[in-house]
Amino acid sequence: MQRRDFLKLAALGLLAPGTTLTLPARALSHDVRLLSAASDGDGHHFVIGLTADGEPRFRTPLPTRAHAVVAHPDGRHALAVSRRPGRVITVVALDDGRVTHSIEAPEGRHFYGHAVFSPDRKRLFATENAFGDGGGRIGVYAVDDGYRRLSEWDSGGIGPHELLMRPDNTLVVANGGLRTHPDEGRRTLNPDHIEPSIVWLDASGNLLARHQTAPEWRRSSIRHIAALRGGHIAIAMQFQGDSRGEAPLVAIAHPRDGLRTLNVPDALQRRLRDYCGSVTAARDGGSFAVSAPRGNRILFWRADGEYLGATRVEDGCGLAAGATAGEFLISDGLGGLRRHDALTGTQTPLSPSALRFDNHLSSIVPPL
Amino acid sequence: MTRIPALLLLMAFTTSPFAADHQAINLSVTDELIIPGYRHLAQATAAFETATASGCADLDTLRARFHDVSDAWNEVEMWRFGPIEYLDRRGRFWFWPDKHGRMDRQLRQLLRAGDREILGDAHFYETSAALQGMPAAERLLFTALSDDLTAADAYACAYLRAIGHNLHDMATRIVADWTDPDRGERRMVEAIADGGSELYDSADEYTAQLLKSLHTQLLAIRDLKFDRPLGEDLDHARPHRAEFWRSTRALRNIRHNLHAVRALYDAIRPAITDATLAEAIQADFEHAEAALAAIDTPLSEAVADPAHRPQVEAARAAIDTLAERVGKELPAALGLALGFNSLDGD
Repeated sequence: MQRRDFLKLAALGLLAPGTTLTLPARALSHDVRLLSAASDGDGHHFVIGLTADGEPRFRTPLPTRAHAVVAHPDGRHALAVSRRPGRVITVVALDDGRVTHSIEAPEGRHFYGHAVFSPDRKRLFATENAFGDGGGRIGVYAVDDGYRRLSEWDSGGIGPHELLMRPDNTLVVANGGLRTHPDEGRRTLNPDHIEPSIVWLDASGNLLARHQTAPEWRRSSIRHIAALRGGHIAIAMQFQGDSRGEAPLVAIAHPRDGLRTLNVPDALQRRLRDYCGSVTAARDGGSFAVSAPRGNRILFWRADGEYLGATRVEDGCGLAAGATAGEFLISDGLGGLRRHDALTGTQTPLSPSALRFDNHLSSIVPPL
Repeated sequence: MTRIPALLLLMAFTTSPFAADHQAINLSVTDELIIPGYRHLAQATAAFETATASGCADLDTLRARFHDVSDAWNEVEMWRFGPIEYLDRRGRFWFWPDKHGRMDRQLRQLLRAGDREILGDAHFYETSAALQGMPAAERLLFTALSDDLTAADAYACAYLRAIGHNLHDMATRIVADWTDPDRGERRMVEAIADGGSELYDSADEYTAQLLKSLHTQLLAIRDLKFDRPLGEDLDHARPHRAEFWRSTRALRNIRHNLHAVRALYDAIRPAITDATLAEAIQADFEHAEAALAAIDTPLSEAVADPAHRPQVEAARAAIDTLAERVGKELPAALGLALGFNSLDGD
């Protein structure tokens, strides 16, 4: 693809580098369309590439368990980001899965499992933990210079997790609020003082806006986000503890309008077990899907907050935008993969994997 | 599109060759282990509350009642779902491990400030979890602070009384939350049979949760209760990381934990069709119990003592063998798939 086309797509807001990469098929030299971290039953971890129908194309071993896999906007590479407290991002080539680069977190930092490219694809941003003081950071890396670390920004909170880039160059960050330290594994060190937030940063890392849930629900950790139409952001949360279905789990936020929580239907409130695993917007940003792997459900909403429905997927967690407006790909921890149309409710099973799909799925889709 | 037709769920339920057994196990574990365990805890907290309410002169009785509550807690510690997780009751009851010494720091601040209002019903449950439960009670009862308890109108005694009241309040609410006929946790399990459970789609889902409790408790014994005090080697042993070292309860806690885990396993065992596996796990349990019984010194001393440390390491290894076998082989033997994302997400 020409750079000119790329920028045009970006300007139209059709490009959301991160979980969904929009590229015409003719621009690609391979047929890998789905990306995920995965594990076998014996504690071996991989990054895998699949066709649009779920046929395996590559399976590359990783030194540690990865979380999100980010498609490089060049359409030829993908980045498998270690989950906390991992310290490496592994870059693989999509045509054969070979490792082309390893990005190491600097001294005193570890990754949180998510990263995103800038719209001009020159910079990579990764959420990081400065675990000495526990502060959240955004590591900034020069893509064309061997991913050299350029600088770091304050993430605007503790425990930044997923981040996304808007076409206007603003970075949106979900600060989960949970303080952890690699010496103490994954344990939450500040259970009584959790301050999750969603923040908007400008192209230099300056804070533009910050929103939180109501004070009584600060234990709902804001961890995953997806870009909707009109600058709105869908939010999926994880409550620390058992709220008996009372804690908010899903919200929509906008830098000007604040944060609005969405209700889960009564019959599902307790069943979701206070836990959402990921959120993904449809190709056109007009709807979004939220996974609740502990409740074995995937829920769908329209971008304006109207609830569309739910489907049962055992241990379903990974979500990616499909090729059409209301279509989603759903992966699960048992190796299952299916295509689901949120507007019609139709579901098509795809080739299952021998591996367990990890929390997140990414897709490369053609322009609408 | 939204709802799964009840018939489909029913089909999924009845076609599994294990399902019928699983619901029977679910109910027997709930009715014969979980609920009686919490009832026993509530009895123990009632006695402890009574002891704290009658002043702090009789330290021996207070300590004995404290031990009863600890014993009862370690029999139910393994249940990591349901009412114990509501309102952070687990942390408020048993704030451990306390890797940054929060309880000790906050307790000294509290005693220095001497604020009586904070001890009242309206406020105490809102205070720091580290101050509300058994670790704080242990600190008051088994250190030099116990000397201050007996002074007339002592703040420390009033504080212990608040802890006793709070513990009993939590324990009785946990029992009620399990047994409420309409909205109780037990009802959620019972309703699985007619597809009317608000929490579970199938019997398998609850059985898998039980299995996860079993496995997680074994990992907690290994990683938190053994490995943390053991340290890397003899020179790096950390005696004060042993659980409740002040009351020399570390091994007693583990023995109760293992007793409870074994009781759960015994309840599940009839559903294991692989007799070889069932016997291997049985042998692992016996080995672990024997290794644990062989440690003849308090854990906090044994880890730092070249003569006794090997006994601890042997017990740790036995728990590890058991945990690995249970984690790797038991789910499949019961026809269960423990979720990958739901078990360990981010």
